[in-house]
Amino acid sequence: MRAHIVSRLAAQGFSARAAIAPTPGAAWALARYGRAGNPDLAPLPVQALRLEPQAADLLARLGLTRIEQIMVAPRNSFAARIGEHALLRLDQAFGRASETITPRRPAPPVFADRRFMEPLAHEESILIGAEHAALDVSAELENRGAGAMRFALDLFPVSGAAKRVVIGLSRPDRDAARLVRLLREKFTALTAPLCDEFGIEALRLSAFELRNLNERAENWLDGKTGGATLAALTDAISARLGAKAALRPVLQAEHLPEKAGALLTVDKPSAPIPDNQRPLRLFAPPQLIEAIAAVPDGAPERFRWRRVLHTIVRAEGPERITAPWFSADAGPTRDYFRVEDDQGRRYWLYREGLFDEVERPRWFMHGLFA
Amino acid sequence: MTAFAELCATTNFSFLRGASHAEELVECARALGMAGLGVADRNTLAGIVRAYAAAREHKKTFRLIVGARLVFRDGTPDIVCYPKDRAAYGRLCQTLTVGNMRAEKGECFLDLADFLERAEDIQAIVIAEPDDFLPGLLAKIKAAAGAVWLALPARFDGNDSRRHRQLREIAAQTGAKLIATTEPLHHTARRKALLDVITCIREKTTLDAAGALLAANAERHLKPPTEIARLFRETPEAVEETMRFLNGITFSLDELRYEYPDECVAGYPDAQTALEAFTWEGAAQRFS
Repeated sequence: MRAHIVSRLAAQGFSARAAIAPTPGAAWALARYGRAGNPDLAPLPVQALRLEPQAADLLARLGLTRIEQIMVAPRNSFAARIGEHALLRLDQAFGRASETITPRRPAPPVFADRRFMEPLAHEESILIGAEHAALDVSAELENRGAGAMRFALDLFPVSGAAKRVVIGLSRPDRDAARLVRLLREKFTALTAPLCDEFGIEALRLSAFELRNLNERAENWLDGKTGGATLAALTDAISARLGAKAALRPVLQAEHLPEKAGALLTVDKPSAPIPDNQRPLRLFAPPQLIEAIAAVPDGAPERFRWRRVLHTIVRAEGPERITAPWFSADAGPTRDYFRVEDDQGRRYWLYREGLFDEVERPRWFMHGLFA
Repeated sequence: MTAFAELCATTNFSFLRGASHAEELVECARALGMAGLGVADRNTLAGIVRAYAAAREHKKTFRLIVGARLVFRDGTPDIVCYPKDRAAYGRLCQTLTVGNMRAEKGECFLDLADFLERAEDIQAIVIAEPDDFLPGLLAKIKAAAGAVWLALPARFDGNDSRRHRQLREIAAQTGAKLIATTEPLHHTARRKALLDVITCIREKTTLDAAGALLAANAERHLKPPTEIARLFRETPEAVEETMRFLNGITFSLDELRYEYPDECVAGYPDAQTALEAFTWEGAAQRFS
């Protein structure tokens, strides 16, 4: 068997040394350091044990160069000085510790080809060809329990270079019908014609960026889950109008309230909802108010906003927020207060600047609670 | 002037969390007119020697107490521990050793039980948000250690007055005594920049991407006693209690001397004889 493997490798242009032994560790050692016909591990150098470089260096400095020298060493102190790993390697070579070899093979790419007897020139017929390919791809994805984030349709015309149409999704999917619908949207949005008058003779549909996707129980009321429908809608809009056409308001993990929200494309996640109390409505920019506070860093007692004087009966704070020192637009520190006036209305006010930071701090109305 | 001592200060020996040297904290606390300072790092006593060296010359006017901030893996809130005497210091060291032996180097896995077993004569400050579990925890520590303190932190997150009211209620209900603190991570507000940078290193991110991982403000520094008195004007007893806490501690690093371990091996009169015998035995094995 060994001769056979070596000759097969030689035929492929590799020169190889091979050894057969009861354990992978021993085979490794004998193939690299062994002399033909002598299966004894003891006289081999310690490097034959697949040691880590530090452990090998350490052994060399201690003058222990052959396996027979460390075979007899007391196990506890050997492990403490040279390392558990070296001991494990020794045991693996002699079969005292088990070692399994797990071959890892790359997962083959998922794609489906269609060749046509006659070239196809019409969009509709290409779509039908793509649908057949999509069914194959979908079946293969289902076998693997996976969905893809990206699909690419390659069209091979009779004349000229291949053309590729790419579809990006906001969540992994493998539904052939949805895929064909998205392709149709994409075709509609294309400005250049799909192919010239000679038509295409083959197409290939490939799936990329595979993610785990387990079949979910569909809602028994209307057969569709809300999340999936929304994703299908945003995918359709992005496919037709471009990735930036469908945006979603998200939270961002920032302390400054005006930076804590943003409109981003649907594939970007939202930060978790912070546990500090923030009003639903913010003014952008915050509105300047006149306020009178009794104590330097306390809440105001009265404030004038849009020419109406409000008397504060309850207040909570301050929540002190300092703009990041490394950002270009770092303003003064703010002290936010949640206040309630005598009418029961609740406001979110802040004083810009600590009293030792600025000459005369200004007050702003930043938001309304409920 | 109000007498106050900050008792929950953290040095840069709380790796990638504290942004000031122990010496800076001691100097700054003295300059601000504090009566004393308590230095407690995360699951280590490593920072106390430097603090001790910095405070040694000012022993008459400034009290330094040393301890550790125990951070637990079982969800128990942090507990800042100060040993009252030499024996309690030994117990605190043992607790930390138990945690260190359990974990990889650099980590410390502690459970509440580890602390409770060796809590005798340790003055413990619990740093916790007010919740339903807190009274039970305080009762357990009080039973094990004889007394318990509860941190009253000024966090400037908008909920201080609410939190203080709830902590006052829990303290009244359990007999825990409140301790005013700003939980300093740095000695002056200007160190916030360094704090942000080390926070980024710890969280493996950049300043631009860190967002809410960074502290919202620069308030976790040492504050002068007058400022403390103003911040805690609703709870002056929490400021006064820091002085009583300080006076309850008699332990000082002066009491520690190097103690050479007993190295006699059973069956041999002294270490040298044992070593010779073992060497011959080993040589016989090696060179046979």
